[in-house]
Amino acid sequence: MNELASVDWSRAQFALTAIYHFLFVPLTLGLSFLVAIMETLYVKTGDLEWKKATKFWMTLFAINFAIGVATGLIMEFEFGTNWANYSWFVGDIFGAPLAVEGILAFFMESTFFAVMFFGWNKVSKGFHLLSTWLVALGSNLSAFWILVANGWMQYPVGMVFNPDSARNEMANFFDVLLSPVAIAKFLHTVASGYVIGSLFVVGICAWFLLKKRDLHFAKRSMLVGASFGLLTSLFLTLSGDESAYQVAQHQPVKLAAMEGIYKGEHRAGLIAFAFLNPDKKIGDDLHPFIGDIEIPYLLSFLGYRNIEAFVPGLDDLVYGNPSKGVVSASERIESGKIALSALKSYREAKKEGNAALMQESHTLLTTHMPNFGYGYLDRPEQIVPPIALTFYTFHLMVSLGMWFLALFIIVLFLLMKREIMRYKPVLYAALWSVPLGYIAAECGWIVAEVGRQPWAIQDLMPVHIAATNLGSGNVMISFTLFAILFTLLLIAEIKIMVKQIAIGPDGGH
Amino acid sequence: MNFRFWIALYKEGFSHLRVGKTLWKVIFIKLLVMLVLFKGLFFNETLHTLFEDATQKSEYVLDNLTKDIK
Repeated sequence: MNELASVDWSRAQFALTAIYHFLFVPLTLGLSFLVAIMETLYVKTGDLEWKKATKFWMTLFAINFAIGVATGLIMEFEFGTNWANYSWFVGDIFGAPLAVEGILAFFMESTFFAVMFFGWNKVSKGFHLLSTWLVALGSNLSAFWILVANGWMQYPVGMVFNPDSARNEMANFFDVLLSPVAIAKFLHTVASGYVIGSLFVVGICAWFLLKKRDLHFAKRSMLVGASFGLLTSLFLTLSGDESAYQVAQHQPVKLAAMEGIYKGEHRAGLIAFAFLNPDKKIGDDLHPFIGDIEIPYLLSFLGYRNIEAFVPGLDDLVYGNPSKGVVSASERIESGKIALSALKSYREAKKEGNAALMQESHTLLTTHMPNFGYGYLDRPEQIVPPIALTFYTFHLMVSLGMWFLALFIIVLFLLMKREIMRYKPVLYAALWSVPLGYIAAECGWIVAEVGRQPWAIQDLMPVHIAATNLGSGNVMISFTLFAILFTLLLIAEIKIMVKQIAIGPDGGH
Repeated sequence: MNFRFWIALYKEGFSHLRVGKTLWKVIFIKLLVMLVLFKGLFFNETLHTLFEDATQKSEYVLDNLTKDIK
Protein backbone atom coordinates (compact mmCIF):
# COMPACT_ATOMS: atom_id res chain seq x y z
CA MET A 1 0.00 0.00 0.00
CA ASN A 2 1.27 3.51 -0.73
CA GLU A 3 1.35 6.58 1.48
CA LEU A 4 -1.93 7.90 0.14
CA ALA A 5 -3.74 4.78 1.34
CA SER A 6 -2.34 5.33 4.81
CA VAL A 7 -3.57 8.93 4.76
CA ASP A 8 -6.99 7.80 3.62
CA TRP A 9 -7.23 5.23 6.40
CA SER A 10 -6.19 7.84 8.96
CA ARG A 11 -8.84 10.19 7.60
CA ALA A 12 -11.49 7.47 7.67
CA GLN A 13 -10.50 6.54 11.20
CA PHE A 14 -10.72 10.14 12.41
CA ALA A 15 -14.05 10.63 10.67
CA LEU A 16 -15.44 7.46 12.23
CA THR A 17 -14.24 8.45 15.70
CA ALA A 18 -15.58 11.99 15.40
CA ILE A 19 -18.95 10.85 14.04
CA TYR A 20 -19.42 8.29 16.82
CA HIS A 21 -18.16 10.70 19.48
CA PHE A 22 -20.71 13.25 18.36
CA LEU A 23 -23.53 10.76 18.78
CA PHE A 24 -23.01 11.09 22.54
CA VAL A 25 -22.05 14.76 22.91
CA PRO A 26 -25.20 16.66 21.83
CA LEU A 27 -27.54 14.89 24.23
CA THR A 28 -25.18 15.71 27.10
CA LEU A 29 -25.22 19.37 26.04
CA GLY A 30 -28.98 19.61 25.65
CA LEU A 31 -30.41 17.24 28.22
CA SER A 32 -28.27 18.75 31.01
CA PHE A 33 -30.11 22.07 30.58
CA LEU A 34 -33.52 20.41 30.35
CA VAL A 35 -32.83 18.54 33.60
CA ALA A 36 -31.72 21.81 35.23
CA ILE A 37 -34.91 23.56 34.05
CA MET A 38 -37.10 20.77 35.45
CA GLU A 39 -35.27 20.80 38.77
CA THR A 40 -35.67 24.58 38.92
CA LEU A 41 -39.43 24.07 38.49
CA TYR A 42 -39.34 21.54 41.34
CA VAL A 43 -37.42 23.89 43.66
CA LYS A 44 -39.64 26.86 42.76
CA THR A 45 -42.98 25.04 43.10
CA GLY A 46 -42.16 22.24 45.57
CA ASP A 47 -44.19 19.96 43.27
CA LEU A 48 -42.86 16.40 43.66
CA GLU A 49 -43.97 15.52 40.13
CA TRP A 50 -41.21 17.80 38.85
CA LYS A 51 -38.72 16.05 41.12
CA LYS A 52 -39.82 12.71 39.65
CA ALA A 53 -39.41 14.07 36.12
CA THR A 54 -35.99 15.54 36.99
CA LYS A 55 -34.77 12.20 38.31
CA PHE A 56 -36.05 10.29 35.28
CA TRP A 57 -34.34 12.55 32.73
CA MET A 58 -31.26 12.79 34.93
CA THR A 59 -30.90 8.99 34.76
CA LEU A 60 -31.09 9.05 30.96
CA PHE A 61 -28.56 11.88 30.96
CA ALA A 62 -26.24 9.74 33.12
CA ILE A 63 -26.55 6.75 30.75
CA ASN A 64 -25.64 8.87 27.75
CA PHE A 65 -22.82 10.57 29.64
CA ALA A 66 -21.34 7.31 30.93
CA ILE A 67 -21.37 5.61 27.54
CA GLY A 68 -19.97 8.66 25.77
CA VAL A 69 -17.38 9.76 28.31
CA ALA A 70 -13.78 9.53 27.10
CA THR A 71 -14.75 8.57 23.52
CA GLY A 72 -13.12 11.87 22.53
CA LEU A 73 -9.87 10.64 24.07
CA ILE A 74 -9.30 8.42 21.04
CA MET A 75 -9.14 11.49 18.84
CA GLU A 76 -6.30 12.76 21.01
CA PHE A 77 -4.49 9.44 20.52
CA GLU A 78 -4.99 9.83 16.78
CA PHE A 79 -3.62 13.39 16.79
CA GLY A 80 -0.42 12.13 18.40
CA THR A 81 0.14 9.05 16.24
CA ASN A 82 -1.65 9.50 12.91
CA TRP A 83 -1.33 13.26 12.66
CA ALA A 84 2.11 13.94 14.17
CA ASN A 85 3.12 16.65 11.67
CA TYR A 86 -0.14 18.45 12.27
CA SER A 87 0.05 18.13 16.06
CA TRP A 88 3.52 19.61 16.14
CA PHE A 89 2.75 22.33 13.57
CA VAL A 90 -0.29 23.64 15.49
CA GLY A 91 1.82 24.04 18.61
CA ASP A 92 0.21 25.26 21.79
CA ILE A 93 -2.69 26.85 19.95
CA PHE A 94 -4.47 23.54 19.78
CA GLY A 95 -2.98 22.13 22.99
CA ALA A 96 -3.93 25.05 25.27
CA PRO A 97 -7.71 24.96 24.74
CA LEU A 98 -7.75 21.17 24.95
CA ALA A 99 -5.75 21.22 28.20
CA VAL A 100 -8.13 23.79 29.72
CA GLU A 101 -11.05 21.63 28.62
CA GLY A 102 -9.55 18.53 30.22
CA ILE A 103 -8.85 20.16 33.57
CA LEU A 104 -12.17 21.98 33.67
CA ALA A 105 -14.18 18.94 32.69
CA PHE A 106 -12.47 16.78 35.29
CA PHE A 107 -13.03 19.15 38.22
CA MET A 108 -16.50 20.36 37.29
CA GLU A 109 -17.81 16.94 36.43
CA SER A 110 -16.25 14.90 39.23
CA THR A 111 -17.45 17.36 41.89
CA PHE A 112 -20.84 18.57 40.78
CA PHE A 113 -21.79 15.39 38.97
CA ALA A 114 -21.48 13.53 42.29
CA VAL A 115 -23.71 16.06 44.07
CA MET A 116 -26.21 15.90 41.24
CA PHE A 117 -26.60 12.13 41.47
CA PHE A 118 -25.69 11.27 45.06
CA GLY A 119 -26.67 14.50 46.77
CA TRP A 120 -30.50 14.22 46.84
CA ASN A 121 -31.52 14.76 50.52
CA LYS A 122 -27.83 15.13 51.47
CA VAL A 123 -27.34 18.75 50.48
CA SER A 124 -29.81 21.62 50.47
CA LYS A 125 -32.25 21.92 47.57
CA GLY A 126 -30.54 25.13 46.50
CA PHE A 127 -27.05 23.62 46.44
CA HIS A 128 -28.30 20.58 44.57
CA LEU A 129 -29.93 22.81 41.99
CA LEU A 130 -26.75 24.85 41.69
CA SER A 131 -24.77 21.65 41.08
CA THR A 132 -27.17 20.58 38.33
CA TRP A 133 -26.82 23.95 36.60
CA LEU A 134 -23.04 23.83 36.99
CA VAL A 135 -22.92 20.40 35.36
CA ALA A 136 -24.91 21.84 32.44
CA LEU A 137 -22.72 24.93 32.19
CA GLY A 138 -19.54 22.86 32.64
CA SER A 139 -20.46 20.50 29.80
CA ASN A 140 -21.12 23.46 27.55
CA LEU A 141 -17.92 25.19 28.59
CA SER A 142 -15.99 22.02 27.71
CA ALA A 143 -17.56 22.19 24.27
CA PHE A 144 -16.44 25.81 23.99
CA TRP A 145 -12.73 24.96 24.31
CA ILE A 146 -12.97 22.11 21.82
CA LEU A 147 -14.75 24.34 19.33
CA VAL A 148 -12.20 27.13 19.79
CA ALA A 149 -9.58 24.59 18.69
CA ASN A 150 -11.72 23.49 15.75
CA GLY A 151 -12.51 27.12 14.87
CA TRP A 152 -8.79 27.83 14.64
CA MET A 153 -8.37 25.01 12.12
CA GLN A 154 -11.11 26.59 9.98
CA TYR A 155 -9.77 30.13 10.37
CA PRO A 156 -6.24 30.23 11.80
CA VAL A 157 -5.63 33.53 13.62
CA GLY A 158 -3.65 34.91 16.55
CA MET A 159 -0.41 33.03 15.82
CA VAL A 160 3.01 33.40 14.24
CA PHE A 161 4.84 30.54 12.51
CA ASN A 162 8.31 29.91 13.92
CA PRO A 163 10.57 28.42 11.20
CA ASP A 164 13.11 27.26 13.81
CA SER A 165 10.67 25.07 15.72
CA ALA A 166 8.17 24.38 12.89
CA ARG A 167 5.43 25.39 15.30
CA ASN A 168 2.78 28.06 15.33
CA GLU A 169 3.19 30.20 18.42
CA MET A 170 0.33 32.04 20.00
CA ALA A 171 0.66 35.78 19.43
CA ASN A 172 -2.71 36.80 20.81
CA PHE A 173 -4.75 34.45 22.98
CA PHE A 174 -7.89 36.56 22.61
CA ASP A 175 -7.71 36.48 18.81
CA VAL A 176 -7.83 32.69 19.07
CA LEU A 177 -10.45 32.64 21.83
CA LEU A 178 -12.77 35.24 20.35
CA SER A 179 -12.32 34.36 16.70
CA PRO A 180 -15.70 35.00 15.03
CA VAL A 181 -15.53 31.58 13.39
CA ALA A 182 -14.95 29.84 16.75
CA ILE A 183 -17.77 31.77 18.43
CA ALA A 184 -20.22 31.07 15.60
CA LYS A 185 -19.19 27.42 15.57
CA PHE A 186 -19.63 27.12 19.33
CA LEU A 187 -23.06 28.74 19.36
CA HIS A 188 -24.32 26.71 16.42
CA THR A 189 -22.97 23.42 17.79
CA VAL A 190 -24.35 23.82 21.31
CA ALA A 191 -27.66 25.02 19.89
CA SER A 192 -27.85 21.79 17.85
CA GLY A 193 -27.27 19.92 21.13
CA TYR A 194 -30.16 21.80 22.77
CA VAL A 195 -32.45 20.94 19.87
CA ILE A 196 -31.41 17.26 20.02
CA GLY A 197 -32.03 17.25 23.80
CA SER A 198 -35.47 18.73 23.18
CA LEU A 199 -36.26 16.25 20.41
CA PHE A 200 -35.19 13.45 22.73
CA VAL A 201 -37.52 14.60 25.53
CA VAL A 202 -40.43 15.32 23.18
CA GLY A 203 -39.93 12.01 21.33
CA ILE A 204 -39.82 9.87 24.47
CA CYS A 205 -42.83 11.69 25.91
CA ALA A 206 -44.63 10.96 22.63
CA TRP A 207 -43.84 7.27 23.18
CA PHE A 208 -45.38 7.41 26.69
CA LEU A 209 -48.46 9.13 25.28
CA LEU A 210 -48.80 6.58 22.49
CA LYS A 211 -48.55 3.84 25.11
CA LYS A 212 -51.03 5.79 27.30
CA ARG A 213 -48.58 5.56 30.21
CA ASP A 214 -47.55 8.18 32.78
CA LEU A 215 -49.64 10.76 30.94
CA HIS A 216 -49.27 13.59 33.45
CA PHE A 217 -45.49 13.19 33.58
CA ALA A 218 -45.21 12.89 29.78
CA LYS A 219 -47.31 15.98 29.02
CA ARG A 220 -45.41 18.12 31.53
CA SER A 221 -42.01 16.99 30.28
CA MET A 222 -43.14 17.42 26.69
CA LEU A 223 -44.17 21.00 27.43
CA VAL A 224 -40.71 21.79 28.78
CA GLY A 225 -39.02 19.95 25.90
CA ALA A 226 -41.08 21.59 23.17
CA SER A 227 -40.75 25.09 24.69
CA PHE A 228 -36.98 24.73 25.04
CA GLY A 229 -36.88 23.16 21.57
CA LEU A 230 -38.77 26.04 19.97
CA LEU A 231 -36.56 28.70 21.56
CA THR A 232 -33.34 26.87 20.76
CA SER A 233 -34.47 26.05 17.20
CA LEU A 234 -34.89 29.77 16.60
CA PHE A 235 -31.45 30.33 18.08
CA LEU A 236 -30.09 27.48 15.95
CA THR A 237 -31.41 29.26 12.85
CA LEU A 238 -29.77 32.55 13.85
CA SER A 239 -26.46 30.91 14.78
CA GLY A 240 -26.59 28.92 11.53
CA ASP A 241 -26.98 32.17 9.62
CA GLU A 242 -23.94 33.61 11.41
CA SER A 243 -22.00 30.41 10.78
CA ALA A 244 -22.75 30.57 7.05
CA TYR A 245 -21.81 34.28 7.04
CA GLN A 246 -18.42 33.39 8.53
CA VAL A 247 -17.98 30.64 5.93
CA ALA A 248 -18.69 33.20 3.19
CA GLN A 249 -16.02 35.52 4.62
CA HIS A 250 -13.28 33.00 5.36
CA GLN A 251 -13.99 29.78 3.44
CA PRO A 252 -15.60 30.83 0.14
CA VAL A 253 -14.75 27.48 -1.53
CA LYS A 254 -16.77 25.68 1.13
CA LEU A 255 -19.71 28.05 0.61
CA ALA A 256 -19.59 27.49 -3.15
CA ALA A 257 -19.63 23.69 -2.59
CA MET A 258 -22.47 23.97 -0.03
CA GLU A 259 -24.57 25.83 -2.59
CA GLY A 260 -23.30 24.14 -5.76
CA ILE A 261 -22.20 27.46 -7.29
CA TYR A 262 -19.78 27.14 -10.19
CA LYS A 263 -20.05 30.55 -11.78
CA GLY A 264 -20.13 33.44 -9.37
CA GLU A 265 -22.81 36.09 -9.64
CA HIS A 266 -24.23 39.24 -8.14
CA ARG A 267 -27.65 38.91 -6.48
CA ALA A 268 -27.04 35.19 -6.02
CA GLY A 269 -30.03 33.12 -5.02
CA LEU A 270 -30.14 30.45 -2.33
CA ILE A 271 -30.77 26.90 -3.55
CA ALA A 272 -33.74 25.63 -1.56
CA PHE A 273 -33.87 22.27 -3.35
CA ALA A 274 -31.93 20.74 -6.23
CA PHE A 275 -30.31 17.64 -7.66
CA LEU A 276 -26.72 18.12 -8.76
CA ASN A 277 -25.88 17.38 -12.36
CA PRO A 278 -23.49 14.37 -12.08
CA ASP A 279 -21.75 15.29 -15.37
CA LYS A 280 -20.87 18.79 -14.25
CA LYS A 281 -17.14 19.54 -13.98
CA ILE A 282 -15.20 22.58 -12.84
CA GLY A 283 -14.77 25.03 -15.70
CA ASP A 284 -17.29 23.54 -18.15
CA ASP A 285 -20.53 25.15 -19.30
CA LEU A 286 -23.00 22.48 -18.17
CA HIS A 287 -25.78 23.55 -15.82
CA PRO A 288 -24.90 22.51 -12.25
CA PHE A 289 -28.40 21.25 -11.39
CA ILE A 290 -31.05 18.94 -12.76
CA GLY A 291 -34.04 20.90 -11.59
CA ASP A 292 -33.72 23.37 -8.78
CA ILE A 293 -35.78 25.72 -6.65
CA GLU A 294 -33.97 28.95 -5.94
CA ILE A 295 -34.85 31.81 -3.59
CA PRO A 296 -33.68 34.96 -5.42
CA TYR A 297 -31.03 37.26 -3.87
CA LEU A 298 -30.97 35.36 -0.58
CA LEU A 299 -27.43 33.95 -0.80
CA SER A 300 -25.90 37.37 -1.51
CA PHE A 301 -27.85 38.76 1.41
CA LEU A 302 -27.07 35.97 3.88
CA GLY A 303 -23.44 35.63 2.85
CA TYR A 304 -22.54 39.31 2.58
CA ARG A 305 -25.53 41.18 4.09
CA ASN A 306 -26.08 42.84 0.72
CA ILE A 307 -28.38 41.60 -2.05
CA GLU A 308 -26.10 43.13 -4.68
CA ALA A 309 -23.00 41.31 -3.41
CA PHE A 310 -20.96 39.08 -5.71
CA VAL A 311 -20.77 35.47 -4.51
CA PRO A 312 -17.77 33.73 -6.09
CA GLY A 313 -18.31 30.29 -7.60
CA LEU A 314 -15.92 27.37 -7.80
CA ASP A 315 -14.76 28.40 -11.29
CA ASP A 316 -13.88 31.88 -9.99
CA LEU A 317 -12.07 30.52 -6.95
CA VAL A 318 -10.13 27.88 -8.90
CA TYR A 319 -9.25 29.86 -12.02
CA GLY A 320 -9.54 33.39 -10.62
CA ASN A 321 -11.74 36.32 -11.53
CA PRO A 322 -9.61 39.50 -11.57
CA SER A 323 -12.57 41.77 -12.36
CA LYS A 324 -14.13 40.72 -9.03
CA GLY A 325 -10.84 40.66 -7.11
CA VAL A 326 -10.83 36.85 -6.80
CA VAL A 327 -7.28 35.47 -6.83
CA SER A 328 -6.84 32.15 -8.67
CA ALA A 329 -5.71 29.00 -6.89
CA SER A 330 -2.75 28.85 -9.33
CA GLU A 331 -1.48 32.20 -8.04
CA ARG A 332 -1.86 31.01 -4.48
CA ILE A 333 -0.06 27.75 -5.31
CA GLU A 334 2.79 29.78 -6.75
CA SER A 335 2.91 31.92 -3.62
CA GLY A 336 2.78 28.79 -1.42
CA LYS A 337 5.72 27.28 -3.29
CA ILE A 338 7.72 30.46 -2.65
CA ALA A 339 6.89 30.11 1.07
CA LEU A 340 8.06 26.48 1.12
CA SER A 341 11.28 27.28 -0.76
CA ALA A 342 11.90 30.12 1.68
CA LEU A 343 11.46 27.72 4.60
CA LYS A 344 13.92 25.30 3.01
CA SER A 345 16.51 27.99 2.30
CA TYR A 346 16.03 29.37 5.82
CA ARG A 347 16.99 25.95 7.21
CA GLU A 348 20.00 25.66 4.90
CA ALA A 349 21.13 29.19 5.73
CA LYS A 350 20.81 28.42 9.42
CA LYS A 351 23.02 25.33 9.06
CA GLU A 352 25.61 27.37 7.17
CA GLY A 353 25.38 30.23 9.68
CA ASN A 354 24.42 32.68 6.91
CA ALA A 355 22.51 35.33 8.88
CA ALA A 356 21.76 37.54 5.86
CA LEU A 357 20.17 34.70 3.90
CA MET A 358 18.25 33.62 6.99
CA GLN A 359 16.78 37.10 7.31
CA GLU A 360 15.95 37.29 3.61
CA SER A 361 14.29 33.83 3.65
CA HIS A 362 12.37 34.66 6.81
CA THR A 363 10.96 37.83 5.27
CA LEU A 364 9.94 35.93 2.14
CA LEU A 365 8.34 33.18 4.22
CA THR A 366 6.37 35.67 6.31
CA THR A 367 5.12 37.46 3.18
CA HIS A 368 3.88 34.23 1.58
CA MET A 369 2.84 32.44 4.78
CA PRO A 370 -0.94 33.00 4.22
CA ASN A 371 -0.61 30.66 1.20
CA PHE A 372 1.85 28.21 2.80
CA GLY A 373 -0.35 25.13 2.40
CA TYR A 374 -1.06 25.85 -1.27
CA GLY A 375 2.59 25.08 -1.95
CA TYR A 376 1.84 21.39 -1.43
CA LEU A 377 -0.85 21.33 -4.14
CA ASP A 378 -0.09 20.41 -7.75
CA ARG A 379 -3.27 21.52 -9.50
CA PRO A 380 -5.67 24.40 -8.78
CA GLU A 381 -8.63 22.00 -8.90
CA GLN A 382 -7.31 20.35 -5.72
CA ILE A 383 -8.79 23.16 -3.61
CA VAL A 384 -12.30 21.89 -4.36
CA PRO A 385 -13.85 19.62 -1.69
CA PRO A 386 -16.22 16.73 -2.53
CA ILE A 387 -19.10 18.82 -3.87
CA ALA A 388 -21.98 16.32 -3.77
CA LEU A 389 -21.35 15.28 -0.15
CA THR A 390 -21.02 18.89 1.01
CA PHE A 391 -24.05 20.06 -0.99
CA TYR A 392 -26.48 17.31 0.00
CA THR A 393 -25.52 17.15 3.69
CA PHE A 394 -25.87 20.94 3.95
CA HIS A 395 -29.33 20.92 2.40
CA LEU A 396 -30.44 17.92 4.44
CA MET A 397 -29.26 19.63 7.65
CA VAL A 398 -31.13 22.85 6.84
CA SER A 399 -34.31 20.99 5.83
CA LEU A 400 -34.29 18.95 9.03
CA GLY A 401 -33.69 22.09 11.08
CA MET A 402 -36.80 23.66 9.52
CA TRP A 403 -38.78 20.49 10.22
CA PHE A 404 -37.76 20.51 13.91
CA LEU A 405 -38.90 24.13 14.25
CA ALA A 406 -42.28 23.24 12.74
CA LEU A 407 -42.58 20.13 14.92
CA PHE A 408 -41.98 22.07 18.15
CA ILE A 409 -44.59 24.67 17.13
CA ILE A 410 -47.17 21.96 16.32
CA VAL A 411 -46.50 20.02 19.54
CA LEU A 412 -46.71 23.19 21.68
CA PHE A 413 -49.91 24.27 19.98
CA LEU A 414 -51.56 20.87 20.53
CA LEU A 415 -50.35 20.70 24.13
CA MET A 416 -51.79 24.10 24.90
CA LYS A 417 -55.07 23.15 23.20
CA ARG A 418 -54.98 19.91 25.29
CA GLU A 419 -55.47 17.91 22.10
CA ILE A 420 -52.09 16.25 21.68
CA MET A 421 -53.51 12.76 22.43
CA ARG A 422 -55.87 13.02 19.44
CA TYR A 423 -53.09 13.52 16.92
CA LYS A 424 -51.26 10.20 16.77
CA PRO A 425 -49.39 11.06 13.54
CA VAL A 426 -47.85 14.03 15.36
CA LEU A 427 -46.78 11.76 18.23
CA TYR A 428 -45.25 9.27 15.79
CA ALA A 429 -43.53 12.13 13.95
CA ALA A 430 -42.10 13.36 17.27
CA LEU A 431 -40.86 9.89 18.12
CA TRP A 432 -39.19 9.36 14.75
CA SER A 433 -37.66 12.81 14.81
CA VAL A 434 -35.27 11.73 17.59
CA PRO A 435 -32.84 9.96 15.19
CA LEU A 436 -33.37 12.75 12.64
CA GLY A 437 -31.85 15.17 15.14
CA TYR A 438 -28.67 13.14 15.19
CA ILE A 439 -28.62 12.86 11.41
CA ALA A 440 -28.89 16.65 11.13
CA ALA A 441 -26.03 17.18 13.61
CA GLU A 442 -23.76 14.72 11.81
CA CYS A 443 -24.61 16.36 8.49
CA GLY A 444 -23.51 19.66 10.02
CA TRP A 445 -20.13 18.21 10.92
CA ILE A 446 -19.74 16.67 7.47
CA VAL A 447 -20.39 20.09 5.91
CA ALA A 448 -17.87 21.69 8.27
CA GLU A 449 -15.11 19.12 7.81
CA VAL A 450 -15.57 17.65 4.33
CA GLY A 451 -16.40 21.12 3.02
CA ARG A 452 -12.98 22.44 4.01
CA GLN A 453 -10.99 19.71 2.28
CA PRO A 454 -8.17 19.49 1.28
CA TRP A 455 -7.18 21.41 4.40
CA ALA A 456 -6.33 20.12 7.85
CA ILE A 457 -5.62 23.77 8.71
CA GLN A 458 -7.29 26.18 6.32
CA ASP A 459 -4.77 27.40 3.69
CA LEU A 460 -1.78 26.33 5.81
CA MET A 461 -1.65 22.55 5.84
CA PRO A 462 -3.36 20.01 3.58
CA VAL A 463 -4.31 16.68 5.14
CA HIS A 464 -1.71 14.65 3.22
CA ILE A 465 1.05 16.76 4.82
CA ALA A 466 -0.62 16.72 8.25
CA ALA A 467 -0.62 12.93 8.37
CA THR A 468 2.14 10.70 9.65
CA ASN A 469 3.47 8.20 7.15
CA LEU A 470 2.26 5.05 8.91
CA GLY A 471 1.81 1.55 7.59
CA SER A 472 -1.78 1.41 6.38
CA GLY A 473 -2.21 -2.13 7.80
CA ASN A 474 -2.05 -0.91 11.39
CA VAL A 475 -4.45 1.96 10.77
CA MET A 476 -6.83 -0.40 8.99
CA ILE A 477 -6.86 -2.80 11.96
CA SER A 478 -7.39 -0.03 14.51
CA PHE A 479 -10.12 1.45 12.27
CA THR A 480 -11.93 -1.89 12.31
CA LEU A 481 -11.52 -2.26 16.07
CA PHE A 482 -12.84 1.26 16.60
CA ALA A 483 -15.84 0.50 14.45
CA ILE A 484 -16.54 -2.60 16.57
CA LEU A 485 -15.97 -0.86 19.92
CA PHE A 486 -18.09 2.17 19.10
CA THR A 487 -20.87 0.07 17.62
CA LEU A 488 -20.93 -2.03 20.79
CA LEU A 489 -21.03 1.15 22.88
CA LEU A 490 -23.90 2.48 20.81
CA ILE A 491 -25.82 -0.79 21.15
CA ALA A 492 -25.13 -0.76 24.91
CA GLU A 493 -26.40 2.82 25.17
CA ILE A 494 -29.57 2.11 23.23
CA LYS A 495 -30.29 -1.10 25.20
CA ILE A 496 -29.72 0.46 28.63
CA MET A 497 -31.59 3.59 27.63
CA VAL A 498 -34.61 1.70 26.24
CA LYS A 499 -34.75 -0.49 29.36
CA GLN A 500 -34.68 2.56 31.62
CA ILE A 501 -37.31 4.38 29.56
CA ALA A 502 -39.57 1.31 29.72
CA ILE A 503 -39.21 1.27 33.54
CA GLY A 504 -40.63 4.79 33.48
CA PRO A 505 -40.46 7.70 35.91
CA ASP A 506 -41.69 5.67 38.89
CA GLY A 507 -38.95 3.05 38.58
CA GLY A 508 -35.49 2.92 40.13
CA HIS A 509 -32.76 5.28 39.00
CA MET B 1 -19.38 20.22 54.16
CA ASN B 2 -16.01 18.89 55.20
CA PHE B 3 -13.82 16.17 53.74
CA ARG B 4 -15.72 13.44 55.66
CA PHE B 5 -18.99 14.64 54.17
CA TRP B 6 -17.65 14.22 50.64
CA ILE B 7 -16.23 10.75 51.38
CA ALA B 8 -19.59 9.71 52.86
CA LEU B 9 -21.44 11.16 49.87
CA TYR B 10 -19.40 9.16 47.37
CA LYS B 11 -19.42 6.02 49.55
CA GLU B 12 -23.16 5.99 50.04
CA GLY B 13 -23.80 7.01 46.46
CA PHE B 14 -21.75 4.16 45.06
CA SER B 15 -23.27 1.62 47.46
CA HIS B 16 -26.82 2.46 46.28
CA LEU B 17 -26.20 2.34 42.55
CA ARG B 18 -28.81 0.59 40.38
CA VAL B 19 -28.42 1.35 36.68
CA GLY B 20 -25.18 3.04 37.71
CA LYS B 21 -23.58 -0.35 38.38
CA THR B 22 -24.00 -1.33 34.73
CA LEU B 23 -22.75 2.06 33.64
CA TRP B 24 -19.60 1.81 35.73
CA LYS B 25 -18.91 -1.63 34.23
CA VAL B 26 -19.27 -0.16 30.73
CA ILE B 27 -16.96 2.74 31.64
CA PHE B 28 -14.36 0.40 33.12
CA ILE B 29 -14.34 -1.96 30.11
CA LYS B 30 -14.24 0.95 27.69
CA LEU B 31 -11.31 2.62 29.42
CA LEU B 32 -9.47 -0.69 29.60
CA VAL B 33 -9.90 -1.29 25.86
CA MET B 34 -8.97 2.29 25.01
CA LEU B 35 -6.00 2.77 27.30
CA VAL B 36 -4.52 -0.71 27.16
CA LEU B 37 -5.42 -2.11 23.75
CA PHE B 38 -5.61 1.01 21.61
CA LYS B 39 -3.04 3.19 23.35
CA GLY B 40 -0.71 0.26 24.02
CA LEU B 41 -0.82 -1.39 20.59
CA PHE B 42 -1.84 1.14 18.01
CA PHE B 43 -1.15 4.59 19.39
CA ASN B 44 2.09 3.99 21.25
CA GLU B 45 4.25 5.95 18.81
CA THR B 46 4.20 9.74 18.89
CA LEU B 47 6.85 12.42 18.45
CA HIS B 48 7.24 12.36 22.23
CA THR B 49 8.13 8.66 22.27
CA LEU B 50 10.31 8.81 19.14
CA PHE B 51 12.44 11.80 20.08
CA GLU B 52 13.99 13.04 23.27
CA ASP B 53 13.92 16.79 22.86
CA ALA B 54 12.06 19.57 21.10
CA THR B 55 14.90 20.20 18.63
CA GLN B 56 14.75 16.64 17.31
CA LYS B 57 10.97 16.86 16.99
CA SER B 58 11.25 20.17 15.12
CA GLU B 59 13.87 18.77 12.76
CA TYR B 60 11.72 15.72 12.03
CA VAL B 61 8.67 17.84 11.20
CA LEU B 62 10.72 20.36 9.21
CA ASP B 63 12.14 17.45 7.19
CA ASN B 64 8.59 16.29 6.47
CA LEU B 65 7.44 19.79 5.56
CA THR B 66 10.29 20.42 3.15
CA LYS B 67 11.21 16.96 1.84
CA ASP B 68 9.65 17.35 -1.63
CA ILE B 69 10.63 20.99 -2.14
CA LYS B 70 12.98 21.50 -5.07
